[in-house]
Amino acid sequence: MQPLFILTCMRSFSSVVSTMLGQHPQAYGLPELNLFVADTLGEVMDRLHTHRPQGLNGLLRTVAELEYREQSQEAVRQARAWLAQRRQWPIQQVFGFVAQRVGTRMLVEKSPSTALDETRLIRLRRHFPDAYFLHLTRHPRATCKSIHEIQQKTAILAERRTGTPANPESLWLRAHRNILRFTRQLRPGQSLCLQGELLLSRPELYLPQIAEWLELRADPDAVDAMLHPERSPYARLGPPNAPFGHDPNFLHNPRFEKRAPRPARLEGPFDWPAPDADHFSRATLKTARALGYQ
Amino acid sequence: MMTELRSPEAMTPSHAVAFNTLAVSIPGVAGGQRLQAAAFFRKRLYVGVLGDGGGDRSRIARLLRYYPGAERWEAVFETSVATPDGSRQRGRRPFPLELGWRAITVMPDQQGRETLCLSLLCARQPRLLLSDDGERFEALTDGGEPRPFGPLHAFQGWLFGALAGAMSDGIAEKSEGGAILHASRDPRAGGWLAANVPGFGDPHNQVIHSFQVFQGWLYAAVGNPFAGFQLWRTQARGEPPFDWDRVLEQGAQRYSFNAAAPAMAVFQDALYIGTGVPMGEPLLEDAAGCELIRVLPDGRWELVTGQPRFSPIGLQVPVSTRGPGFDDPAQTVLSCLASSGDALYAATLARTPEAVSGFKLWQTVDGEQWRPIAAPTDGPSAACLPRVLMALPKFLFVGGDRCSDPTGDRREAFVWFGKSEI
Repeated sequence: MQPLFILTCMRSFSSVVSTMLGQHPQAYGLPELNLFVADTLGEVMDRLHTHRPQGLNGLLRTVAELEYREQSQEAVRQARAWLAQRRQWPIQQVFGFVAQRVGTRMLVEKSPSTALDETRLIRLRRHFPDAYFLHLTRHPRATCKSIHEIQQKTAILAERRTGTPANPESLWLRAHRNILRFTRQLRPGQSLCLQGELLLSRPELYLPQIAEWLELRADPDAVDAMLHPERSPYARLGPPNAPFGHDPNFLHNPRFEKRAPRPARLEGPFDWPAPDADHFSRATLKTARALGYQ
Repeated sequence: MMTELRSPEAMTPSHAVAFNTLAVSIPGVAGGQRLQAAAFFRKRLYVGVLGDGGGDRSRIARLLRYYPGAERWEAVFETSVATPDGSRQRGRRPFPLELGWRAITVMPDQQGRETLCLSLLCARQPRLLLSDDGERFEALTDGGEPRPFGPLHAFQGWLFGALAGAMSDGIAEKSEGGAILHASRDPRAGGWLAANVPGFGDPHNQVIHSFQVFQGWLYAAVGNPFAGFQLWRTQARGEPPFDWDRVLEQGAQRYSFNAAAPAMAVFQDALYIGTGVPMGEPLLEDAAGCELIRVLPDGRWELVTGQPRFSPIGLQVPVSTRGPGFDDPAQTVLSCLASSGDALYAATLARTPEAVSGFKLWQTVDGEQWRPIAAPTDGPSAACLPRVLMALPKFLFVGGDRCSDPTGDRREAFVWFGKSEI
């Protein structure tokens, strides 16, 4: 069964959405593997260790869960050693290992890092030319505000690693432009786009459609299973040596609660400080409107 | 659910329609001309053309009538004074004042008599013309004020006209506050009344591009470059402004990638709607392939060709299995639709912000299985621009214009008469 990759910008509901879809009886939801930043496992580990050490948490937890049947500190230590012994593995082989362990179920993966660089998307397609791709969106105002807040929370770490935090608007625009360019090259039906706000406010309407698109069961039992992301083995904080792999807020409170979209407009000044502008650029407005935001 | 690519055989143009080319020319008139609108009236073909008038770059709008037996064209109306291009003013680039024909339609009255209604758009003197016989044309004003109309449509004894809006740089632009429709029971007497609230309540609903009557309703497709086109309908009961219901919004959930819907036609109990930004309006750099959507009698809609997507009424997968642009994303505008009853025809344009680089004609007999039609382009299709499509049983009419010199500046009108083998 071909995997499903959720392509999105950071802070765009991807943790809850991917975990919900992964709870479908015919699917298996993964935390962020961040595999597509490089071609081999060793390169992935080196890059993540340098730039974003917690980016490896999802892969460590996955190997611990699938190879050692638990997500304890000891299992994570063993997982780290397991990965170190396989540094030469192409990333497709890592994915193949995961697929082999979960059997016939559809793998559901989301790593917002993938969409930030076109070369990663090209790599993703090269390895998985027939996969499904869900382009998940969130209103740029809400996304940017959330990015700014997370940047504030991690300001000390961010400054130590990279200096000035990235502009939230630039991150949103880069990710979605990359995804739009990428999905245009795919076969019709290989990629669909969905506003996260719609899915989370009307899951009974959109979850069956996603299942139908993926050629999975769309019966009430399957939909009900997807409404319980908290049942995922990755929907809680991991051990201290690999606590994350998803959005920390989601890991603290993984239960799904239907939420009405908060009103947001593209026009108007930013709700966060930005050095160069206080309104969305024309490029952002154009891309946002193409994704259905006003 | 993934749409498989079609085999090369399936993309081979069929020969289900055999065309003859008919030059559109009248004695004594030199210079190029563009075909802009057409209608059959009293068993005669009328075409509205805009001629460049010769060397001084002035433009003349002419209405030509074709005599099949004599195989000749005759000018039955022309603008009395050649209208030159606007001169450079306040630093703006020159633009033509005469824009030519925006609509030609036939309006029946309660006694079954028909009137030919024509909209002529000119910055100096827009005109609404009526003719009972195709010989004499009456220019109408309303209280002395000429009204610049775009599309016209007759419905329930009313003549509806979409106001063309203010003009700038030669382009009919949006009306302030949103697109406005006017309606009159008796255009000769004037009495035009606003038939909708401006923009149907949304100022981003800028231009009404097409009308169609379907199952007792008048449908209007209004372009919205911010959120995607909307489709509205009315039964025109009582007096204007009428009650309108919104049938589609947000470009049928493709948002600004479906900014406009320039073509509609009724075929086999469904209303078909073609999307894409029409000629004369700015096109986004990354315009997507056009779509064909159909509205069913129960109000639901289906994707016929286009991008699969989620929607409030369920997963939409193209019933034709064809993706955007009939599997050719370069076809960004579905510019014309025409139904003969037995078949539905579509014309798509490969339009970029810079130019039109080609076109395709399509035919279906069931609304779902589409096949390309080979057209006698007499050269590369990039040189041809079909602007009008009309279908009668076993008969297809395509009117447009094509480049007639290497520079591409000069264009000549053409008409293809096609005999369908269906």
